Amino acid sequence: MTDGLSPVLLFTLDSDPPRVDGSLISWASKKQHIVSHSSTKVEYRALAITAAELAWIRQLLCDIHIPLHIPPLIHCDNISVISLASNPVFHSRMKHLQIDYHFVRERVIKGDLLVQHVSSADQFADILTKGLSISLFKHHCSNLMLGFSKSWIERGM
Amino acid sequence: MSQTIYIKELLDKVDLQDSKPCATPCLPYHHMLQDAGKPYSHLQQYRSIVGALQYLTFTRPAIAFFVNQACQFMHNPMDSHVVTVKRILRYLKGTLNLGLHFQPGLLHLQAYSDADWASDPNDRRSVSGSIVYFGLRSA
Repeated sequence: MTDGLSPVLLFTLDSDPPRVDGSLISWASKKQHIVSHSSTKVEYRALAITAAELAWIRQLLCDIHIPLHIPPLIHCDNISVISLASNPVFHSRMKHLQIDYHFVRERVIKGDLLVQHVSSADQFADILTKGLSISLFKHHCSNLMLGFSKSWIERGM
Repeated sequence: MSQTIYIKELLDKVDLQDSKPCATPCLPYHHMLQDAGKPYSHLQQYRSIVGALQYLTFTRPAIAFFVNQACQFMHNPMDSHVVTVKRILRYLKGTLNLGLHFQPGLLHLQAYSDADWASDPNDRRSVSGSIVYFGLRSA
């Protein structure tokens, strides 16, 4: 039953095996401090917070002598945010965006960060922003690397 | 990595050992309203349960959003908030042995970033969520 799956843990059988490489090391679900007119602004803010977290982790790894040669990659499901992060497009609403959120753009232009688009269905962070249906919840749970231990399954599930 | 014993102790404390388990910690797109229902009389109990749940998000990131929601009403919980918290506990009861799994992977940092615009019905602020994956090179 466990062939081809993880030797230590078996994921919930009614969900797909996770499609991620590596382990979950950090996550956050937070209410933002301001009320915003635009959804792009909100996504851009979330992106900036994630970028700051990644920069911190990268620095920490560098300090313990594990330098990363590939720049960190952020997946985002909003196309306008991705274009905002990579080129200085101007929009009348975007002028109100605080300068510190353009930290993301600065890092993308320097080549220290990559931003990639994912479809909303593959947006794993969905589970940290809203309540989901049972099937989607289980799907994202396995993507969060949540599973049952093999020893527990052998004891009788 | 799991916190099975911690969950069992928590369920014993709130007397929910015999409750019916749920598949998810919350109904889809459910939002907690500031003044839904009557004020809950056992303030101390609500605070201690939600406080205990915060420590559970270490190995159960799936409930992080819902615990965050419940925490926002620590100062003035209503009956309906208690129902939501009980649902989280019933979900935990059904998934006692679920734990966080670590596996080797490429030496690469990957993150997912998402936001739900103006999702809080009380003050129309937005919620942001982020996940970071990291793998050390496979042995």
